Amino acid sequence: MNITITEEGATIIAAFDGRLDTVAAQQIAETIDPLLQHADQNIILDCEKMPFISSSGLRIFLKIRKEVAAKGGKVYLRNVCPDVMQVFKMTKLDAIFETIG
Amino acid sequence: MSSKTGKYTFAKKELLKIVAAIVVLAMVSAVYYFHIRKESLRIAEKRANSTLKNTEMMISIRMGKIETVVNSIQPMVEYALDDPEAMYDIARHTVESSSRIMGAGIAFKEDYYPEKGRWFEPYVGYQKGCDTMVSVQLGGPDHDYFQMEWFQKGMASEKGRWSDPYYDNAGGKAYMMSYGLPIRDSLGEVVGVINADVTIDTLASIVNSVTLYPHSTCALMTQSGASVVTPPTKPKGKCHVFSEAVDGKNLVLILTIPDADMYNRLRRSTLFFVLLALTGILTVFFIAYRSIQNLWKLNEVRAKEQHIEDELAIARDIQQSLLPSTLLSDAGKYVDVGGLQVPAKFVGGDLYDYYVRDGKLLFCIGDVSGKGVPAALLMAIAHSLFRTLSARDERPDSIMQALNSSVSDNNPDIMFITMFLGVMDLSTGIIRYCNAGHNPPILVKNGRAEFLSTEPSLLLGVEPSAQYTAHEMALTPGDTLLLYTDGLTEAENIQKDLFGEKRALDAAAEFGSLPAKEQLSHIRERVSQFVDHAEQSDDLTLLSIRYLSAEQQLTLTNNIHELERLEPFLMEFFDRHNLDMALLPSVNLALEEVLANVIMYAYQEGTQGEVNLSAKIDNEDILVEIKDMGVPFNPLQQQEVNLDVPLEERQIGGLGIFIIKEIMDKVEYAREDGWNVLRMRKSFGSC
Repeated sequence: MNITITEEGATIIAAFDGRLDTVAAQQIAETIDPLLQHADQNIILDCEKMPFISSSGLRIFLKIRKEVAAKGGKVYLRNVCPDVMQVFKMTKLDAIFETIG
Repeated sequence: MSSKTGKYTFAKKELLKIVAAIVVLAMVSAVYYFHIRKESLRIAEKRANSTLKNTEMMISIRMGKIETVVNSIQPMVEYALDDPEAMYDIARHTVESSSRIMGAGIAFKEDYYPEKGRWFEPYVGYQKGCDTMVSVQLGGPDHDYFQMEWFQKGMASEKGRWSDPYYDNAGGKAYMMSYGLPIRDSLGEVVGVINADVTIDTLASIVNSVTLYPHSTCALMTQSGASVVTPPTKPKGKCHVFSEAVDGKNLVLILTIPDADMYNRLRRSTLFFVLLALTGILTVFFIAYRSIQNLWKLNEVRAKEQHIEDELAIARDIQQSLLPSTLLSDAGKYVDVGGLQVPAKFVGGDLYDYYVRDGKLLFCIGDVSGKGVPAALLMAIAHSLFRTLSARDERPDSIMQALNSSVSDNNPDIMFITMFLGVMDLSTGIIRYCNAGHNPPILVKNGRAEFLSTEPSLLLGVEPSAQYTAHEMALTPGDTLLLYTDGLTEAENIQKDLFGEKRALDAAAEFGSLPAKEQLSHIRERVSQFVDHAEQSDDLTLLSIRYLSAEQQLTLTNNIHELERLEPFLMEFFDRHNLDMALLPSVNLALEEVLANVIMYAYQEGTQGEVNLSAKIDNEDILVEIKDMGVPFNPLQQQEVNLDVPLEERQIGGLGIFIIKEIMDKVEYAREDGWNVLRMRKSFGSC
């Protein structure tokens, strides 16, 4: 699992590449720190190249959202594949993440 | 071909041996013959000499008696010299003194008695053919004895002497010998000779009585070589001559023995010996020849047998190559099949076969009546029929029916086959089978073995229109179906005891849980121990089918990276069971949640533990069981996440279990013998 973080104006874009399973979730726990530092900005989580997410992965997303919410920014999901979307729906998290694209 | 030249060289060799033996025999006989011949000669010489001695003695005695008579007359003559007429009486007296003396004369020198004239020889004797004696004066011009050898030598000699034989034409008129003795007057002067005649016949009777050998002859001669007694016949051929002088009588005895006579006995005994030995040699060779002839025949039979055995060995190789060896690799996940065949006579009449087609295992085992090549041929036919028929038919009863009609149609020798034929669904373990008079297979379940108790149908090859019925049975994972021919139950030991059904069941129960190949080798070993040194009486064929189930297992250690093995495992499982791949991500997610939970929390940190996952298909459900030996933990009792509560108020844990329950249709927890067991069911049919 790789995460590429880029800035587009005031918006931070984090692109997830690979399965976000339990193992990957542990690995990236620290990789997302820069994201959290920009929690006051708008953050787009690009899931185009993420075919799978586990509950640990969901927790990473929830952690980012919690931090952003606390600092006044906003989180968007972009390009979520159907399988992953199903997990969001199953856990009703689709309601708290705004999806775009 | 080779045996003919072999025979020929053998005959030549044997002939040489016979010739050699005869040569040796001839040499031995010759040595024997010449040795005995030398001995025979020695003995013959001894016999001849002693015979001659005896004869010489008899002649000496006979002549000696005459000498004695004449010697006793001499003084009487000398005393009566003055009376010439007394000489007749003295001569008569002499003749009368011995029957051997044919006549006696006293001859005086010229003009000894002037009154008697110039010659005076009074003579008394028998004339040939006359019984009476005559008394005459022989001397005269007709009988001028002064000129005769006997008179001259008699006058000249000091003592008595014998004359040579002569024909006496004056006195005796026969062949004679005379003994002459000089007469002296008172002055010691020789004045005349006394002469006594003895016929040669007297001596001839002695000489002719010598019969040492059938053709031996004896002759008497004077020392000067004149013949005295001549044998009637002359010996022929090579002869051995022995001689003996008659002492003082001027005579020699000659004994002649023909060579043939001397060695006749020896020759006959030698001939007898040679014939006897020759008969012995030929008998020995004849007996040897006959026994060697038998050996040849035996060798020929052996060679033929060897030829047949070689061909049977090839046939066996071909037959063995017809037997299946391995399954398709995929089917090996469901079922473990092994076969074993030990033919009694190189090629056997047993057959077995199995192969996998469209997720089904098709198998059969059979026993053709009889043994050897005919049985093997029918077996090969049945085998290929099985393959052909089962290629487009999965119903054991209809395959069997078709097999039966093929085998029955052209079966002039009424050979028959017993056969058990089955078709097994690999995913379910259900077997449909048909038994044509074959021994009931053994089903081994949970370590217990029992015979399959279905009523068998008619054996193959007997009745073309026979009906065959199919039956059904189900193997559950771990079960073994052991098929065999009567070579197992009817294996015989030296005491003629049978291996029997009890031992077969025991062996099946004992080894039934092992992999098929091991099962079979153990059972075979068991049979070998029982049979011991007895000859294998029938083909032994075994076919073992062990159902492994469709279950698929995965064992992970408590390391989070082990989770990476889950997805390939599920991919294989879905692929194997032909499941809808759309279902894979959610099943994967649910199982990852369970496994991650176990890996991270079941075992204390720093301790090693395992988690076992097994998945299988049950009807239209995927059944998954996850077990660990960690601390007792029932995830289902965790408080569920209340998704309606605002995110900020939610417990961060519990999301995983929520996902599991959401995805799976049924989730159950149990604590069993120190194991946490989580069983999940997910239907794929409704998707």
